[in-house]
Amino acid sequence: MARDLVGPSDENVKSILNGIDQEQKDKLEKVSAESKNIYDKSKKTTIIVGTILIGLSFLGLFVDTMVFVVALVFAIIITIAIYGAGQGKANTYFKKNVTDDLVKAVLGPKGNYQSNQGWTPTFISGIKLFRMGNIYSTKDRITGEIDGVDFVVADVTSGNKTVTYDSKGNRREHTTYYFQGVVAEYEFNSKKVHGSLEIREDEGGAGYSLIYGRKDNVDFEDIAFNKDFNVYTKDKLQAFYIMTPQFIEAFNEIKRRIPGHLIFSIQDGRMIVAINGTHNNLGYSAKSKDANAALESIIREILPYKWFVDILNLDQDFGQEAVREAKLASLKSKLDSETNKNGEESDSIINSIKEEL
Amino acid sequence: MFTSGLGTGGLIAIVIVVIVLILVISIIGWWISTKNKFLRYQVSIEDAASGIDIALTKRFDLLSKMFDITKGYAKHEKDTLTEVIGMRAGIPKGATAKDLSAINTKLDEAARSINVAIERYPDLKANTVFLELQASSRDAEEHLQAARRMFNSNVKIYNQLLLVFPSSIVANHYHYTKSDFFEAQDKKREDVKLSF
Repeated sequence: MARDLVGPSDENVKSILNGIDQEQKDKLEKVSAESKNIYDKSKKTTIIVGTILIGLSFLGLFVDTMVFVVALVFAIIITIAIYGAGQGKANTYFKKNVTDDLVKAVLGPKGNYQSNQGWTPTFISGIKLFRMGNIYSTKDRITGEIDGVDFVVADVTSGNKTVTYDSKGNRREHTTYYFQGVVAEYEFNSKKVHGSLEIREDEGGAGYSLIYGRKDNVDFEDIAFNKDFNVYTKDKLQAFYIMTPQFIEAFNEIKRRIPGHLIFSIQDGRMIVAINGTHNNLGYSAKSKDANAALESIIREILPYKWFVDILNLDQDFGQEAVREAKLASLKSKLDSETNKNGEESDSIINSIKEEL
Repeated sequence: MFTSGLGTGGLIAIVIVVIVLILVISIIGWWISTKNKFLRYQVSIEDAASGIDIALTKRFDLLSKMFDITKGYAKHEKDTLTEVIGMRAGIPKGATAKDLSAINTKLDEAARSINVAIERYPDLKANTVFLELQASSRDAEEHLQAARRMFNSNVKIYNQLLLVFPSSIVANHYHYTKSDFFEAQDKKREDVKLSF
């Protein structure tokens, strides 16, 4: 199926941007402009230092061709390092001062961003969605609450590096990446799931479930969905219970909108979303034409996590909220009659119970 | 030598016998595996039908309990609701997909009547027992939908297998017949929230 609709709509991005108050917007634009300034400065420094170093390397020609080559290689390496450091500095400054504010603008006051935090290896190996090797890194952790649904997302890289020696004793390194993408965890709606249910985008036979292998695949009424996704579970009836026609349609839409290879898993009252082949930048991008473009680009990265809650009905509670409210109302009336007070005391008790819940 | 002892004619005869043997073994193997496939789907259909039974019974029990609560309120809807109570004997054993569909349609009508009662008598919305039953009933309905879809999915594959050549040869030999689908009024599909 062609992925003709990728990313959030311009309309929704603009609406988030419009929702940011002017004072905050001014601050965001100032920081964004400053990041661009840091980047531009480092670019200038790179050009000057690079030109000098490469120029100096040509002096090596007066000594020996080999000296020239070595000096030129060093000059290029140093130039690239200076450029990278400049970009990193601009990025860090931007992330430190803007990204958390933008996360809050999109996800509300409970939104939080930490650039140097992520998922623990224990969590990732526990969810069993992709292989773990001897390479592991994680960063850019976003936490928040969307329509009452708690969620956490972070970038994850998992791979394996092997070292071999050929017959001449030459060392060779070979790195295989199992996963380079984002992993998000959401509270699942009030439907109870026994065991786990895995929904993996089809990889033409290359991908399979670490829990189920290639067996226990369930087919549904939707031909397009069956072609694009494999659903693994031990309980077929449960698969039909979770995968309603509306839910299936949501996955088709997610595939059209979200780039990368999709893996979903419902386990222990939560939904794990792993998207391989994509990662959050969440920082300053030299490609952004202006401050507004930089902000838009980050909003575009965060919005899908909010959209998942809507499209997958993760906030659906099947009438449980109404039951809770009615129970609390009945408790309040009992408290009112027993304390013979005007209700203020029972209000505070009820509110504390609500917070506990 | 082996060939010189047998002669060309003998060798050809052996090759033909081997080919025929391979063909016969393949046909027997295919026949057994096709028959097993039919049996597996028959078991799956029975499993799914028992899933429908369980979900229908649960829904029936919940609606009956809800009816007991709404009795005092819903005098106007009494007829439909009394009909549900008339079904207290539960779902008859050996009920066909058509019977189950008919029972489900009655339960849908009862659920609609109870919903009318809720709209007319807001007191019910504060009744915690009733609300809990309502939430459970919704969940039972979801389970029923799931069981129905799984049943129909199995029936669809089974019926296709019955009609398609060459598996139809095995089906005709054992007199396997088409299974009925579980027909129910599909709930209007809610729109997927596409915009983001």
